[in-house]
Amino acid sequence: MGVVDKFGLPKPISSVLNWARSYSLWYFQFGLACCAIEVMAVSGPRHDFMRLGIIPLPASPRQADLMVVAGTVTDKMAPAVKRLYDQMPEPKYVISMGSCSNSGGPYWDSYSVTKGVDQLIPVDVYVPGCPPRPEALQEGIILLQEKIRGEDMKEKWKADQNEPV
Amino acid sequence: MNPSSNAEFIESISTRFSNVENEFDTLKIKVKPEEWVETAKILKEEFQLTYFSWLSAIDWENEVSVGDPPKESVSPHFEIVFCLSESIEGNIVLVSTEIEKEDAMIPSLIEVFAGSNWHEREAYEMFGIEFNNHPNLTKMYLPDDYEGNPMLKSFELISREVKPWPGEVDVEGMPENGSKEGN
Amino acid sequence: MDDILNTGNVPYISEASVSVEIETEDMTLNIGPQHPSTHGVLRLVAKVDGEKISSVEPVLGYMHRGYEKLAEVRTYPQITTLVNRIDWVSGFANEIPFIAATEKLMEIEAPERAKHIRLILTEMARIASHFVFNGAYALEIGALTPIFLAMEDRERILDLIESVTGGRFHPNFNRIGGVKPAAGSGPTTKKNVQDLPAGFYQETRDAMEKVLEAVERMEDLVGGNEVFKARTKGVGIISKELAEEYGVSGPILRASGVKFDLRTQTDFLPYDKFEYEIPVGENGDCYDRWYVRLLEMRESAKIILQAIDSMPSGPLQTKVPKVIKVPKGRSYVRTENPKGEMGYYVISEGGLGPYRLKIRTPSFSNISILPVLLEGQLLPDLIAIMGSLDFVLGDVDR
Repeated sequence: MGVVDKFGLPKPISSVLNWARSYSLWYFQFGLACCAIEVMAVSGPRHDFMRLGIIPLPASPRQADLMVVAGTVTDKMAPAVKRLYDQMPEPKYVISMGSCSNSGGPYWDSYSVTKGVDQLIPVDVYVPGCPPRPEALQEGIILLQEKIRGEDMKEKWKADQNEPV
Repeated sequence: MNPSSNAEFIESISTRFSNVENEFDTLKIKVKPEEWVETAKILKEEFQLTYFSWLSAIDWENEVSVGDPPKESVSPHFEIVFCLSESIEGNIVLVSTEIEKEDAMIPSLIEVFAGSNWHEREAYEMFGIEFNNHPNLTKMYLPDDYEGNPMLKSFELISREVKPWPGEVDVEGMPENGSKEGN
Repeated sequence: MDDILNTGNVPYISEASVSVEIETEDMTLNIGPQHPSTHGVLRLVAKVDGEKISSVEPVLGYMHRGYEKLAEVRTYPQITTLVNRIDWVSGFANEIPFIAATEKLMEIEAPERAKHIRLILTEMARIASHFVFNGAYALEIGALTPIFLAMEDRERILDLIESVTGGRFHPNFNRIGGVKPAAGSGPTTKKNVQDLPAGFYQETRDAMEKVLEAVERMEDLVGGNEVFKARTKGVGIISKELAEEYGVSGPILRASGVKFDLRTQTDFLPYDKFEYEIPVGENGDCYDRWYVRLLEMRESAKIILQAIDSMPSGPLQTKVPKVIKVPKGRSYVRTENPKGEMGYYVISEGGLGPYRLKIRTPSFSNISILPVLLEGQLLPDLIAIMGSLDFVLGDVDR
């Protein structure tokens, strides 16, 4: 990527690439708690997130672009969340779904719950709700796609962010 | 609920054991710690209470770090309760005992009810009660390096120390208004 | 060629081929905590000898949120919000025993109409929960279609719950002494503020017809499938004695041939007014557990249809003090949750919140049987057996 680092991508190429990336997000199923059931509902026939270009169930996090943290992250689970995130290849995106993974939610004073998944991994979109309605998650996905379309590939592909794990 | 058989059951339990309380249709037998395993055996064999429902403990303490203390002063101790039932009439019995807080120890029920295994592990982790003869008394829920027994009344919830319970004020001031601190 | 294929005398080909004694070492296989078929974040550490499982040790706590401690620092009305989320596929059913235990201590009783609404919503939660099980279990066995059918059917039930309570599956609809005035657009008078939404009865009747249809279809589609039968019949047999000793309850206990349903014991929901059957299995294998739950959906639909036909009129709430203080005392109330026996042991010291709240959850006891059950089974059966127990991790870890 040396050339991209130096000069950046020409705008047309960049926007075509971003457009393509935003509609082919391989989504890594990270169901933890209640919100996972709503994720199931979104992938079900009524809401059907495949029409937004989300492709569910990659065989491993190494094939995924998007991680939806759906549910309470506990202190015991936290290392696993971090590890699976690290296994995903760049460019990667995270949606934090539900109050629990946003901030601890109803368990804000619990002795075993991590108060927000953003303490562990960078989050792109927060979806509020306990649990968020399926429509809310879809909105979150659309917002993420907008974000991807506006991205500068040079920033994203900086060599120092590209360290293999 | 079948009232006649229930009354019969209450009657027979009350004659067999000396210290029986009936609170809201639930029988509670108070026993000494020495009779702990024996009571479980009697209930299983003589009263056909073969269904092991749960086991847990209560920390009686006057000074608490979170929540409300008991209204009347109590002598600090652990109360351990287990619940047995049977699956024909649905008769149900709670058995409770009191043990000292220093070196809290009680025989395990595993030889009578194998199902008490996980419940005892949970009580061990949450209260620090030792169950003698338990084959695998290790942590159940919390990470291995976790210190402390969370269900003890002396255990503090650190998040609440940092930020008080927001429910104490009805409406929190919005941050940008600056009218009221959000506590 | 015929000789090779004819394995009639040998139950498993794998067994025949390891009959030559070779020194082997057990391999440790780690399943989870993030695995699609563990219904959340259960971790199993399995020791396997070839295809055979020699021991399994479940590792819990990846979803431990500390409900029992949090209950000590919340007031009674606040706890309802929390307990909704214990078994997250049947939220409404979790509220009932806690509310009933508190009402018992306060010696108040909900009005008949509120009790009927509670019963209807509990049964709807049961149907929704069993739909999730039906779809997910078929998926784990290897059939992709049923989950899409089941999710669509479940949405219909959730729509009904939402029209009454305003929430899809964490309704937080119960109040001590009754239910919340419904969120729908019913008649609004001063005496009877916002009751059930308009058209609720007819919509429920239609939806229940659809549920009955769906049960039929599921019975044909999944139960009639030879692969499904081969994977589940005779697999993971739980005997009656073993189940009782480990406190296994609900459909799993009934599949083992014990006709015991806590719905027949409850005095705070009017189950005794309605006619329904308690489905019981014979063998206690995976197939029976699946079938018992399928039949239960049919019975629940029948109960709901009877309940809306005999819905009494009247208020939704009894009079309760503005600040709820519960007198000193203890009560243990248990109900038939879709997963099994759910009980709350409330110990009140007369304060705004309980001194101690013990939550007895069905899945915790149900999966405590796993190490015994999986010993000596084949590895491919692990998922089939685990799935048939229908546990939810929030219900296991609390």
